[in-house]
Amino acid sequence: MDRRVVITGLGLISPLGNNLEESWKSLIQGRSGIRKVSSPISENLPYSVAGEIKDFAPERFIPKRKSIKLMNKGGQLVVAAANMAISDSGVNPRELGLALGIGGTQYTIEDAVAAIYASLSEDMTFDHQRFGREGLKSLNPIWPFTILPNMALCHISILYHIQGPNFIFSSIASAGVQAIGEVVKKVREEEFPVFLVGGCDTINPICLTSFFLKDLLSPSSDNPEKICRPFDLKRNGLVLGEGAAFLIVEDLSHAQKRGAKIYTEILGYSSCVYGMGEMPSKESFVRETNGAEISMRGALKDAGISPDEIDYINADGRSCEISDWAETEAIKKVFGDYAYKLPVSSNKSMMGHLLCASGPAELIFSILSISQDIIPPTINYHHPDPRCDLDYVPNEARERKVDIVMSNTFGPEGDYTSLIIKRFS
Amino acid sequence: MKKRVVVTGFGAITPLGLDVKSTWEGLIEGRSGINHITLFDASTFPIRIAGEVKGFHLNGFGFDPYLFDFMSRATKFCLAATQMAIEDSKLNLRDIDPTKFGVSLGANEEHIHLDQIDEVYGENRTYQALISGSNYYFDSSKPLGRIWPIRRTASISSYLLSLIFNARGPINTSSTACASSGHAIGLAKRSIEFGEADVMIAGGCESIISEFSIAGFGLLGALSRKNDEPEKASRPFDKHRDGFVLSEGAGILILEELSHAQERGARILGELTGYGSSSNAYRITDSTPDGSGADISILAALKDAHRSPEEIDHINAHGTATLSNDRSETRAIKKVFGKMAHEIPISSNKSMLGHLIASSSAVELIISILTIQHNIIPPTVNLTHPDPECDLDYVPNIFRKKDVKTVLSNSFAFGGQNVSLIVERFIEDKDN
Repeated sequence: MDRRVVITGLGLISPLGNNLEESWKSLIQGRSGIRKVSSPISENLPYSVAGEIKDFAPERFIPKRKSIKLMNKGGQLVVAAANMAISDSGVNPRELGLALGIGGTQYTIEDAVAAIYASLSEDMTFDHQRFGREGLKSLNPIWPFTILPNMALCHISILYHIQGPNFIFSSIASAGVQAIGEVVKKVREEEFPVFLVGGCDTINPICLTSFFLKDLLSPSSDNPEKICRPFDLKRNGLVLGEGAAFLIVEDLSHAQKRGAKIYTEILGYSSCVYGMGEMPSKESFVRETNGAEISMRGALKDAGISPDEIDYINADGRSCEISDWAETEAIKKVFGDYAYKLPVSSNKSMMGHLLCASGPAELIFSILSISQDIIPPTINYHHPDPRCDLDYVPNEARERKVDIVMSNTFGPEGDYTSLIIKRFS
Repeated sequence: MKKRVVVTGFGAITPLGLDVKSTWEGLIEGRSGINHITLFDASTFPIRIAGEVKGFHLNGFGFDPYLFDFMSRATKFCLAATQMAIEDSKLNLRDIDPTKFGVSLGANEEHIHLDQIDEVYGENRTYQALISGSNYYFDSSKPLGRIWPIRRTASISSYLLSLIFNARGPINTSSTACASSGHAIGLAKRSIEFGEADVMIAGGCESIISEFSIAGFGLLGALSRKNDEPEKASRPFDKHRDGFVLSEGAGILILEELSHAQERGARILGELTGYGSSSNAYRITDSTPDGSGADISILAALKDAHRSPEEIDHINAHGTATLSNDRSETRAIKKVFGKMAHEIPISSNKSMLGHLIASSSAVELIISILTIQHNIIPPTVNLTHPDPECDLDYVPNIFRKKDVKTVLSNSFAFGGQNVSLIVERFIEDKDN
C-alpha cells in the first residue's frame, strides 16, 4: 500500500502580489499583474511587457545584508517564498528535504559591462588581451555565486540548517512540477517523509529577448493587462512573468503525528515528453495534443479516479494558438462529453507564464480553489474561438463546490505534466 | 520491491581522450590532460591552463549536420558520448518501448565567448551598447544570434537526445554545478528502480572554458595558477595545491533494469546500488571544516546500497585540489569510516583530468566501473608533498592493483550540495 501524500504548507510571491493572500485576492477579482517592465533598460528592448515582481523587500526574509548581496533576484524570491511555506506549515525545517525547479544561469551582460569598459583600447574597440590583463578585475568577485542556478537551494539550506536530500530540475517550464512529482514518488516510496518543493524563475533582458526570438511572445502593447488572452480568438502568444512558489509536501502519517494543518492530498502525477515543441510546425498541433492527452490520462491512472470525478481543470492555457487548441482537443479526448461540463481556466491570463514557477504557483491556486470553493476566471476572454469551445470560466470567478482539481503544466519545449489534488478527508 | 539497476554501456569524451579506452589508459599511465588554453587567447589572463578536449569533431558519428548549429560544444560532446554508449551497450533502439526510455543529464548553460558576442548580440551595436547598458538584444539577422537563445539553455542536450534517440520516458536536466551529473544519475536510478523506465541515458556534459568562466572562477581563488607546469597544476591532497583546473568533456552511461538487460543478453558492466544526497548548510563559499554534510550523503548512499562502510573497497574522491575541499572530504571520510579510513585506497581522477564540473560525476563513475573490471585503481598524481591534514591513502602517483568489488564515488558542489554514488561488481545472486 502506497503512502498517502499531503500538502501542509504554502508560500507564494507572484506578479499578482508579494504573498499568497494578495495574489489569490487579485486572481479571484480578475485583476491582471501584467505591466510594462519597469527596469531601466526596458526601453531599448524589442519586448518589454511582463508580470514583474514589484516592491519586494528581501530584508524581511533574509536577516544578513551580506547574504542578500550573494543572491540574485531569483535566490531572494526563493528564500522568501520558502520562508512563507515553512512558517505556514509549522514543520521543523531541519527535517526537510529540498527540491527545486529553476531556470538556468541567471547572468546578464550587465554583469560584464564594467569589465568590458575597462578593456577598450584607445580607438574604443574591444581589446581581448586587455580584458585578460585588466578588464576582468572589474568583475564582481562573487559573480559566479550570484548566477549559479543551484545557489537558491543552497541559500535555503544554509538559512534553515537543512542537510537532507536535495535535487534540482532545470530550465524547462515544467521543471517545478517535475520536482513536485519526484517528491511525491519519494514520499510514497518511503524514501523521505517531508520536502520543501517549488519553483522559481525571474525575467531579465536576455530571457525576454530569447522568448521574443522564439516567436512565442504576445506582441508588446500599450495595454499590457489585456494582452494575455488564453483560449480567446484574438490571443497571440504568451506573456512572461516571474515569481517563486513553494509547498510543503509530506507523508500523511508524518503530518498527522505533528498535528499539521492539511490543505489537500496529492492523488496523481504524470509527465511525458513529446518531441521538441519550440519550433512551431504543421505537426505541432498533433504532437501537442498527444502530449497533453498522455499526460492527463497518466495522472488520472496514477490517481486511480475516473475523468468525471475531476471538478475543475487549472489549465496550462498559455495563450499560444496551437497550444490552446491542443489542450482543448486533448481535454475533449480524455473527458468526452463531460469536457463541456467541466470548468477550465487559465491563471496565466492574469499573472503571465512564470516558467519554472508556473506549475507550483498554479497548484497553490488549485489548492485554494478547493479550500474556498472558488474557481478563478480566465480574463480577457471576449471572442470565442470555434476551436476552443469549452467552459473557460470567462472573466469572472465562479463559486462552486470543488473537491478534485487537475492542474496542467505543459512546456514549450515539448514537456507535459499533470497533477491531481483532492480535498483531504 | 525495488528493481535492480545495472550499467550496460558507457561513452566519454575527456581531456585524456575521445573515448573511454584512451581516457582509462591515460589515467593508468598517470598522464595529465591539462595544458595551455587554446580555445581563446588567454595569454594575458592570470589563469592560462585548462583541460581541453583535443581534436574533437562530431562528423562521423552519424548525426544530421543540420542539427549541429543548434549545439553548443558541450552538446556535441554529449551526443558523441551517447552514441558511443549506445553502441557499447548493443541496445537495439527499435526493440525498446520509447515511453520507458528516458534521459537524465547534468548540464550547464552555454557560456558565451567574447568573440561570439558580435555574432550573437549584433556587430557595431555590441560594445558601445554594452557600455551604455542597453540595447543588447540578440541580432536575429545572424545565424548564431537566432539560434543562441535556444542552444544556450542547460536543457537543450537532454531534449536533443530525447528527440534523436526517440526517448519519451522520464527526462530531466540537473544543474547543480559540480554535482550535476551525480544528481542526474541518481534520479535516473530511481526512475528505473520504481518502474518508470527500463533504460535511461544518464550522465553529463560540460564545456565552459571561456573568458568569463576562467575570470569568474579565478576571481573566487578556486583555480590553480601553476601556468608554467600545466600537467603538475592539479595536485589534490598535496601541500602545494592551489586550486582546481577547469576542464571539459562528457560522460554518458546506459542504465538498465536488470531483467531487461538479461533478457536481451546484454553484457553487464556493473551495478549501481547507492545514491545519496545532502546539503552542507554551512557557507556558499566553503566546504565545512569538519566534513559534516558530506558525511550525510556518503551514509545515505551506503544505506541505499545496503552496504556497511567496511564493504567499500575504494573511494573515487571528489578531490578537487582546493584546500577547503581536500580537508573537508578527508574528514568526512574519517567520520564515516573511522579507523578503517586509513585502509581504503582513495584517489582523485581530477589530478589528471581536471574538473569536468557538470560531467565530472559521470566520468568518474565510469572510471569507478573500470576500476572494478580491471582491479586497478588509478593514481592521484602530483602527490609529492602530502598535506599533513590529509593523511589517508590517496594512491599517490602510481596505479595500484587490488581486488575491487565496491566503489564509492563522491561529488560535492559549490554552495554545499553533495552527491555520493556506489557502484559494484555485478553478481547475479546477491544473497549467496
